Amino acid sequence: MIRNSAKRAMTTTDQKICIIIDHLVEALGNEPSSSLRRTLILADIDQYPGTTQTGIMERLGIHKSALTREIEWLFNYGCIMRQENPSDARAVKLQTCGYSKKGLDDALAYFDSSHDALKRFIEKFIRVMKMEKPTLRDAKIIAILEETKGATKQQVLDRLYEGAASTENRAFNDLLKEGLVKDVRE
Amino acid sequence: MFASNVDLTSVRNALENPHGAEIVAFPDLHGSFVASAAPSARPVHGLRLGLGL
Repeated sequence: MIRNSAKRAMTTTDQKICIIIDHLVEALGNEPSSSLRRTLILADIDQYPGTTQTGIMERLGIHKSALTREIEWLFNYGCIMRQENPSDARAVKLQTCGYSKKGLDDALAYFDSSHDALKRFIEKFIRVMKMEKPTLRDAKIIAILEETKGATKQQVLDRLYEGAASTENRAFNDLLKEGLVKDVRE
Repeated sequence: MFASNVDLTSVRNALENPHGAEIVAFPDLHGSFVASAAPSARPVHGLRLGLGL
């Protein structure tokens, strides 16, 4: 615990952002294609164990159909557990579990264990990315470029998540096309 | 060489000032939520293990 605290203290803000994204990827079943929105939903469920879908909708303002899809994904990937309510089929209670809980706990350590702060961090990332459904991989590419103050494409790809090279290439190229990454070659 | 063209200032602030108060709501979906007629679901504490404690 002390060693981790010291490590956090010696890490720059931009390095911390990279590490936090890595923890969030772990929380999402090592699936960096997960959207930041899905990550926000998972963090909300972790903050309110036993919450229902209605509660999440009220807090995050996410449309029901989109939320239902995300909850299905989180359940299928073992990120959350569902507790059926025999007296009310609509009031299924949700809670995080397993590696999701651990990944979120590791990320929360950078926010004084404040779920609100972690959710604010994710929400800010969604806002600044200015693209449709930014993923954790997209966020990591930007975070790497911020931390390194400039890098080659290969240097960025080397620090991603060992996914298919074509997927990572496409993600990088999409960010370039969207203007979120710029070519600074002289 | 490539560089980020995203201003992460607000993201850094959220990390460096974890106790700053601000409501989290989805930026792209403001106004699209229609409140349910059902009573609000509140977080139920003590049910983490499904023990009903």
